[in-house]
Amino acid sequence: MSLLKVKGACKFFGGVKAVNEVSLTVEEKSITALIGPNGAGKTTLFNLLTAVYSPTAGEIIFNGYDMGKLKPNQIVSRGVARTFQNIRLFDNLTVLDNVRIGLHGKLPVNPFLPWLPWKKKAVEADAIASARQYLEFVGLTDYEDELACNLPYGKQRTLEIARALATGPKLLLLDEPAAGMNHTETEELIHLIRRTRSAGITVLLIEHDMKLVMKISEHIYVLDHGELLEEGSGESIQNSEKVRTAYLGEETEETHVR
Amino acid sequence: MSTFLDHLLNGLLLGGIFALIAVGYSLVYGIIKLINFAHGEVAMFGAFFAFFIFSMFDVDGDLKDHPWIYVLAMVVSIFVTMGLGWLLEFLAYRPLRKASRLSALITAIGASLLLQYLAAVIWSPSVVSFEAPEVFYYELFSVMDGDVLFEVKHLVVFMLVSFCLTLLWWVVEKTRMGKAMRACSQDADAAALMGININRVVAFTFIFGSAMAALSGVLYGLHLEQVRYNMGIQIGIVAFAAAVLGGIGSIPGAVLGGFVIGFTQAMASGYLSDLGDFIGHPLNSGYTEAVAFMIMILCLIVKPNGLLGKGDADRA
Amino acid sequence: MKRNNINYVLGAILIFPLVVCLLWPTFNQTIDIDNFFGYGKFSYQFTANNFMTIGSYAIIFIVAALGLNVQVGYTGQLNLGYVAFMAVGGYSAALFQDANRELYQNHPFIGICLSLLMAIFFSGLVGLLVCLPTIKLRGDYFAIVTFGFAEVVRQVIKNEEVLRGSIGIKELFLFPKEHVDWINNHFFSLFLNEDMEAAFKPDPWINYGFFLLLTVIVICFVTYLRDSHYGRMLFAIRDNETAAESCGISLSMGKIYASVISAVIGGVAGYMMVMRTSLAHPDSFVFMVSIYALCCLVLGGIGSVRGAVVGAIILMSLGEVLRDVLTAMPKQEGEPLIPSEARFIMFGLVLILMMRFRPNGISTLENDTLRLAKKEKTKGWSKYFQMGDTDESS
Repeated sequence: MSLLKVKGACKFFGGVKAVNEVSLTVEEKSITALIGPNGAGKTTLFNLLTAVYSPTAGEIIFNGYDMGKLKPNQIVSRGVARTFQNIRLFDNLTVLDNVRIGLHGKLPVNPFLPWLPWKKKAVEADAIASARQYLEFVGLTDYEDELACNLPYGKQRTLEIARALATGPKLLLLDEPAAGMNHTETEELIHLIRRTRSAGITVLLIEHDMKLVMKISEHIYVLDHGELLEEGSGESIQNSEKVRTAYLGEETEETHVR
Repeated sequence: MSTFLDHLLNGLLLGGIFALIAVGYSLVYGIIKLINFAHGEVAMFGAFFAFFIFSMFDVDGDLKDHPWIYVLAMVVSIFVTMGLGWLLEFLAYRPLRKASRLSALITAIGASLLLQYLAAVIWSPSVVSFEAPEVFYYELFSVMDGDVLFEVKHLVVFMLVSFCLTLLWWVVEKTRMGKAMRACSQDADAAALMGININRVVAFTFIFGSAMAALSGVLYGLHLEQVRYNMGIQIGIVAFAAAVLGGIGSIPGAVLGGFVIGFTQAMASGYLSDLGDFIGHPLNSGYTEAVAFMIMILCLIVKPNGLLGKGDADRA
Repeated sequence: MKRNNINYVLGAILIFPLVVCLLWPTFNQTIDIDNFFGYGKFSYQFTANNFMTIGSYAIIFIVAALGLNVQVGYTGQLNLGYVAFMAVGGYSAALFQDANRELYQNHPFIGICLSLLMAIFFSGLVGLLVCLPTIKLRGDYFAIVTFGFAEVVRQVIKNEEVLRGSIGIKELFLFPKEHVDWINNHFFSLFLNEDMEAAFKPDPWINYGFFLLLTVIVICFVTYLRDSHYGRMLFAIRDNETAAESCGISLSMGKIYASVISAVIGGVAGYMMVMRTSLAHPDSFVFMVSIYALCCLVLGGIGSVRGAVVGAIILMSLGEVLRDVLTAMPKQEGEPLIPSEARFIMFGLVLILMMRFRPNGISTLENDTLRLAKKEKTKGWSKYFQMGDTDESS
């Protein structure tokens, strides 16, 4: 069953066609990658998927629901979570608090009930336990009480993923999760993404680090100038002329995207 | 009809004064994205300095017969206020340039309070009255059988306002400093990388804005024949509403806004009771003050960019 | 949330005036200087009643600062028009009492409850009304709109016949005279001897006691909010709006929530303002009042409950004492030596200096929402307010 179906999505900013007739599907429990040169419209597409922008045309259907008309915070309750290209953490809150905020959607919404002291205690205790589980899942348990802004860069990205996971998504959108990470951190990220998939969460990621992409993705979509250039498995993408030209320009000699 | 023209004339007079102050707000906001709450107080200080100077003179006969004293006072006051504007920027705003806008806004409020009550302590917490020069009231010509008078006062204000605005246009469009100002308002970091000394540009902006504010303050004081320590808030807020109406950051907008608000205020004070009769609910004269605020609020809610504003989006 | 000894110290400070004055009702200091720097007579009298009056004023601002804190400190929205909420709260209670004087005479407790309810309801309503059109406004614009709104409210109060305009609504009371006398005879007189009884005025004391009760309730409420997930939701909105949305937080709901709660607390503060002077008058609700609340917060530390309490106590008591002292100054040619308005210079300086040197406020002890892990430098409160975020995902 396709978890996410995008049909002919378009986003035009005046004359600029940031995303032009892009169609893709993401299968459940898969790891799909979205690649393309800078400015190809990948993050814009993500923004369409998370309702930061509303599509100029086209359909976005997630789990059977039409996502076109929702607001960003409603997307989350439907089961889509995302991380950001430029890390957006709550800098002045602790790591634990950051994850606890991710749990917000799952906590009681009635403005009056949680105010009863005994109820509140129970809710809070649950929240802390739950948040700790997520921290353990990503490997940040040691940093529980640190302020988010004091974490090293790689750990900040991991924290963002933990927070996104805390919202209990079916689909996790990762926007350049490996940016700025060194080799070890990238390996840890690979393990994390695989663990996430094993936990039943579908992953769609934007990435420039080709090694990472080739290692973990089952299906790859290539975007260029807002249009879908190519799709397929790692192998076929690597061998594709079109992709090579898009990234590297006209060939003068044999090169491989490895 | 004659009252209408009377109000119109009054509105243009006030409008010019507000326009000069509103421009000061827009200039500063354009460059450092700060709403200089203390700008109205700078105008007020200008008025007080001028008053201080002409109270120093002890002449036989009335002060009002000697217009040159007023001119002298105005000129000196402008220079001193320029210094005040520079000091304000240097001491209060420059250290916070890297801080968030909220901190800067709070500091501006603090500066406004400080200046207001310093004036109250140094000079007087109550109204200070004086007389405008006799020559101000000479009729130049009259319309409608002498019901509407166009006085020297009006001429002086219009001339000075036009001069200032022309000077401003010339500085911003035709000089290097003006170009630097425009560059900074677009992207301060890039401007710095191009070799523009941001500190100097900001200082200049403040000084220029304060000079115009001082002039407006003096003119306003002469118009009302009194100065008060809290007149800064009065004209400041109205001028700010004007700047917002025209689009904060836009200089022509500020000028337009100034005239619109000045006109509206004059009309409001004249026709408010009639409007009250029209809607069946009595409207006191106190509501004139509220008019400027309401215009500003409506403007910010409906169109935060103002009439001529640039696309400085309210939210991404 | 672990209890700190400092909370008890603060609690003690609040009870302190009551206790001191009960134990020491002779507290009556007079400073009499015949030739004050050559300017004439300076005579200043400071009594226990005086102490109480100042204390009740300071306590009102504890509540006001805490309410403002919910919007400014927790949610990151600078509200310069806070006085509007106070005005609405105070006036609704006053109007209600004015229209139902017999009820108040006969059943004062019901009367008090109903007034509070009126104040809370109407100020909450106004909080909602202010928030709805301004949700999308950026920080500094929001501040300006709230400022304008407060002025408009004040003008409306001043000019409308129904609200008694410039005359105000007079003779409001918490408890009718018979009750006050009863309390006096059965309680206060135990502590006083005969000569003091003549000079004693029970009203400021009763006010203080009642206000203290309300203040404690508000402090508990605000602390509870901060430690709950609603508080966390507000902090998320303050820290990074886009990130908050990506966690499922509805920005509009959060801001409305903050606005209403802030307004409700403001309404309570307004109610206290009106009851303290037995008078509801537009001049008690000028723009400066919003600034007082803001100054208390800035001094104590934006976002911190303790900060609001400390800031309000220090600043407002100092302000009132200064006013009395300056008014007592000798006069020169009919004008006071230093006008009592000079005390506002202090407020201006507080804002400027605090923002420059200590944006976190003076209560840098274990700050409530900032956990100063070890000795690491934090980004500071000023960095919370990421207004008009220039970050845009490409």
